[in-house]
Amino acid sequence: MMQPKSPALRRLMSRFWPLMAAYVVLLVTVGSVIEAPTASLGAYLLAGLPALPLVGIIIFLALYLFEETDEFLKVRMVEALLWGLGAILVVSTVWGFLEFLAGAPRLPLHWLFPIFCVAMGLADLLARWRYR
Amino acid sequence: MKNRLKILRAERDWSQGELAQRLGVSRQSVNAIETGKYDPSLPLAFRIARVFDLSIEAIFEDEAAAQGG
Repeated sequence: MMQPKSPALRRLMSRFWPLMAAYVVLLVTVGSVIEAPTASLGAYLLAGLPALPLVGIIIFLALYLFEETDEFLKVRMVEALLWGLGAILVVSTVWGFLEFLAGAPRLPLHWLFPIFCVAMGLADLLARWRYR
Repeated sequence: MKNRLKILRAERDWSQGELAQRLGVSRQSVNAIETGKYDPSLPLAFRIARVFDLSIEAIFEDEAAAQGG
């Protein structure tokens, strides 16, 4: 059964999805505009555009922690954020050594945010099971 | 932390949702506290005590004290 969300969680979701949509649109648009990577200032500015909505999501996640009045839901979010942050630290550290010492293929840094989101999602599932 | 929340709630014929509404928290919070999986903060424990018109000690068991610690 779907559980009713707190007002702060509803606000976070209403901010999250438009930013996610903006990210997809910007990624596709910028990807089609920049045909070959160049190190010019214009290319840097353009290439950085898809990251802006993701930065917005991180800011809104932090804002949620201030807005949430339900302390249990806040703890659950903090736990999920720690799982997400832990996952990207582990993946980037381990893969960094594999790249440095074993010549593993380079891990594109922009994969870190999706890894963070997946880890947070898994942490949320774990929390639902743990606190059921 | 062990507590008497479920018994007290049953005595008043309140659902978890009703208690959550009285406390201004989510039903998930009430469930997590009731099952001892989450210990409420002191302000929330006071709120719970006020809702039941009891002292905190009458609702929550001080396990360390019970063990003589």
